[in-house]
Amino acid sequence: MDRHRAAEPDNERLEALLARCANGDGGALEELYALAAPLLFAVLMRMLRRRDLAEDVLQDVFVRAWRQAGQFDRIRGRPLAWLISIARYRAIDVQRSQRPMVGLTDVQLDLEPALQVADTVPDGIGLGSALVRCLEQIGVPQRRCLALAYHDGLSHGEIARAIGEPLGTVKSWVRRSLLSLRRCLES
Amino acid sequence: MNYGNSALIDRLAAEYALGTLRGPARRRFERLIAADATALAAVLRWENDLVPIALSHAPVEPPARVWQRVHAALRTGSAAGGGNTRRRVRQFAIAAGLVAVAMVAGLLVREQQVAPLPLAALGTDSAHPVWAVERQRQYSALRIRVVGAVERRAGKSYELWALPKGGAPVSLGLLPESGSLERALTSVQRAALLASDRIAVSIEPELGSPTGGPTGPVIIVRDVAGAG
Repeated sequence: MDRHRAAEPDNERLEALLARCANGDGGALEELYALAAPLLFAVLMRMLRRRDLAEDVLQDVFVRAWRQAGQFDRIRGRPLAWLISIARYRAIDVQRSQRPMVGLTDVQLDLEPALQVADTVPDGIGLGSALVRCLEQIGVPQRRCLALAYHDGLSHGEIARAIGEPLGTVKSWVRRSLLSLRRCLES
Repeated sequence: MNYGNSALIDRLAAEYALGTLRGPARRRFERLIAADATALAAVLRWENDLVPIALSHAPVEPPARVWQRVHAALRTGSAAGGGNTRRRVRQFAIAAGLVAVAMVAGLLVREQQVAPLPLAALGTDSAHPVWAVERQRQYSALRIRVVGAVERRAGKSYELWALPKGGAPVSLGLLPESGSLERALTSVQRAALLASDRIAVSIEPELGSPTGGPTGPVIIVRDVAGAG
């Protein structure tokens, strides 16, 4: 029984579609959109908390993907990571200029789901299982910081306000958690 | 000797991929990535490593207007740049035009000849359905229409589930709060629905159940038409 929330789209298929996009094949972009847009839209809705902004950024992601498809090189990374990164980085830029200051209450409302993130990462897919194993080795408050940063797109300062810890503590938790993840992923 | 430097680059790459590197520091690091292969490799590695966190989201179907806007942006070339853009946009316009024609033709054929079949009418009170759920032949897609008053709950969504005999519930996605939607079914969803006598609706977090199974109260369970 497949219980994953979002099955990872097949990277080889995405690569083939990007190669076709680079050759100007619009049908390939449409297929790419059908495969990846629902996941990217979920990521963007969570980060931006505004449907209109999420729609704008999603549009932008696929226009960029089309323009930059020729620059995508399989050795540079997996296509899904590439698309997710375009979306997340764009959302971070948009957040800065557009997102209303995240109210403490907003973040607190969302804290519970964010808390669960590390426990609900799909665990049956190669890359995922290593990450889940490694996330489990990090303390709960530290894991919460990573979730608020990755899922909600919060800055160090916003995380500190959301969980009521000093900024310096949050910075050091994030830094050490990432270091510990890297060591664990390499082992 | 380079260890200190490469450790620093990896730390910055991690915070860049995570999103906590902000402001001028983020811009500076972007310039470094463009110029330095080591920094670029470190970023790509972190981006890959963190993908499973993004996959914990339940996919959300974007409205059709987003694709239409992508299509329009490419056609006018307004957002595009680069040497062979014009050729690509032209080819895209031709391909997209053909796709659009095929889609319209397909829709017309479907509308005229292959009307969806009723699957279930969903409401907490069976006399007052809120959603009408229909299926395409071969269970290729579901069409869900709001036909009653949806009680909106802040920060919550209604999620539809297939209840296959002898198996765990399988999500059929979130229910719309207004209008209608058509959602293609994956092979897993199709198989689960074919093995189900009943479908259910639960109340979940806004973006859907985080676990893959119902986590909130199940408010509706209904028999499906043509089951057995």
